[in-house]
Amino acid sequence: MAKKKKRDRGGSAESAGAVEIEAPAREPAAEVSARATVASAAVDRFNPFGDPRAQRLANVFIALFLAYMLAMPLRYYLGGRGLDERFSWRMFSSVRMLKCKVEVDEHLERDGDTRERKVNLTKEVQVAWIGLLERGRPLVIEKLLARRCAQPADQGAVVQVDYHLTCVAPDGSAGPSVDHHMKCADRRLASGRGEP
Amino acid sequence: MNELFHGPHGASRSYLFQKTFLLLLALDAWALMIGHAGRYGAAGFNAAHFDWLDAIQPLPTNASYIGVLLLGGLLSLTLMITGISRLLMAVLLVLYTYAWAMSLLDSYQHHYFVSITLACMVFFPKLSARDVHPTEIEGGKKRAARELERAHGIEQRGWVFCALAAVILAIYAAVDSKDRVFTLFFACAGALAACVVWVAPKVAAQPVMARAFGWNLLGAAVCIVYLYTALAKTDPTWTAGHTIQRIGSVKNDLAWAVEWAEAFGLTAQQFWSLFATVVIPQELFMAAAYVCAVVRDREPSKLLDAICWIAVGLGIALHVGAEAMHLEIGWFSHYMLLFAATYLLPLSAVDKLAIVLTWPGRFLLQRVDAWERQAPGKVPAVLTVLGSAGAVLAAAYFVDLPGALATGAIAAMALIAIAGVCLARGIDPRRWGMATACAAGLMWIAIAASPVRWDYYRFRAGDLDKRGELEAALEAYEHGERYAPPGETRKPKIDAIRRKLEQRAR
Repeated sequence: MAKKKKRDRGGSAESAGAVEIEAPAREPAAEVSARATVASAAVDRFNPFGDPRAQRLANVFIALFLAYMLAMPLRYYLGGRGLDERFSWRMFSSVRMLKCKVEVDEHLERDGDTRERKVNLTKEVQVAWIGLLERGRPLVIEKLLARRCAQPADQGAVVQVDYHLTCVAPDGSAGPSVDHHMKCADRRLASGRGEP
Repeated sequence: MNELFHGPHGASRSYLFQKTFLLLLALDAWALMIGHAGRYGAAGFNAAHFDWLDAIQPLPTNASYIGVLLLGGLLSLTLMITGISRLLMAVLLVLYTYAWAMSLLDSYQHHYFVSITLACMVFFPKLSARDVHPTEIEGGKKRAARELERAHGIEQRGWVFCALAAVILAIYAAVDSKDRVFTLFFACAGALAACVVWVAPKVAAQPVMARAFGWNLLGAAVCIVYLYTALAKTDPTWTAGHTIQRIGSVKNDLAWAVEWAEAFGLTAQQFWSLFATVVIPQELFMAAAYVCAVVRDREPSKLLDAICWIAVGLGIALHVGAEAMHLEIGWFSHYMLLFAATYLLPLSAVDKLAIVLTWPGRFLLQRVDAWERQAPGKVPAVLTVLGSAGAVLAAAYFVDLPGALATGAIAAMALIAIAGVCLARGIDPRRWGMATACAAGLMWIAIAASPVRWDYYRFRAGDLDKRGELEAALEAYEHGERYAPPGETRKPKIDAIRRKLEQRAR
């Protein structure tokens, strides 16, 4: 019925739609038609993308925006991003609810001897960063390990820094365990435990 | 695509959303986000959300983070008062996005969502209060006496509705809802609904329609967000009910429901599994409802109305429920309730709700118009802008946070630059000046009335103390004492640090 009315008036779908929302059924057709024109004009007055060229540009933007909205979270599922759930709308996911413990160890070399020591994270960084290390954020891991590599060699030169994460899943079972290391010679973050 | 993204919507929807969202954003930045600023730059460590940003930005500090938030809030509130300027909305988008992107310390996904929303808002229709609710009494000379009387009646009822709604919203904001989140929400929402039905006047026979793709695109974006949140919950650990029990205080809050389910023969694990799994179709339905909401004003139908009404209920269950579970998600629930109110409620109701903003908006517009007419010329405009710049600096000084004064200076200079551009184009800039001064005043009120400065100084001091930076910790604790709420003094900590410092000196 609504569609028939639109066709009968020969107006744009927008103007017809605008009228049909509120127009009382008893109003004479001429009055309704006049109102339709007014409503249409009012609608278009606020439309900055009314002309076809602006609308084409707007459509390009819309397509890019939607592609971004769809692709960004897909990176998590298709890109094997593991613990890094940013930009993927995984609030309160099972990964977010993992309970993890982080340890960072460094290997120091002095006079040909190598020894290992734990990094006191509480003294090293603000406590919120420890939370992020426990969530396995690669950017934070890389920065912290590089920073440890760059520390003054008062007790020996740091040759390698290890990152170790162990997690418990929400159901109490063993969760993922993550190991990274950085050789201070090249300062590249690598997976697994490396030999110093 | 044209019909879906360029179709019309009720002007009051985007108007109400835009104004309230910008207000929420400013208050969120000032009264909540600043509290965490003490983490920024601590121990000289930072990692941004993006490698390229790390490469180009200096190390963020508490002052730079606070500065970006204060400036973003000021711009947001100024835009709320003056109306949309696409260029300045884009600047706000950049400022806000930089606030969270500068450091992984802010990993709240809802801050990313706010950026997505701001990106769509750049393309919202530019609407004034008069556009949404055209003034009834203006041009009254030509009207019949009865019609004029009716218009006066509408005007008066509108003001009564504004006053009642303001009281209800103030009560909702002021009452501590800790253990009665649903009760407070339903009491306030019920009272507001009663006011909409019985007090708010119907302004026009048919609500004004507007068209700009930003509104429709935002609806589609919310749909995608809900789709992915549902997808994230399809893993076996979630559907078995293990994950949901770890969220906030859910396990304790729903202990009664578990007992109730057990009385009906379900095991606790079955209950949690069912409870968790039900969230998935709920979120999928919400996703579909937002698409329906976008087309609803153009193609009204009972089916779309029914879908949107069900989504209102589900939205309340999800987002007021999130508040009841004490999730640490800032004001995300309130942002989402604003989405639900403006997208999912019927247009006639939203049009009446918008009176809360359009009536004061029209009143202010009338006063400013009259002022500009009565005192034309550049001199009063320049004096107003300079006075406003001074007010911004004064407010920034009294905010008493690192980076505030520099931010005030930047805002004052930006205001003067905008005024210069306006004058060069023959536009009177005094409403920009007044709006910025009002925003600065509200910034000071929001910060002074909230515990944000206390949070900032005590969190910072505690962290410095932990890392052995005792002098700086003492300074922060002592500075924060002036903002300590009754009974929360850190005097014992201050004394302990002083003793440690004395021992160290010996």
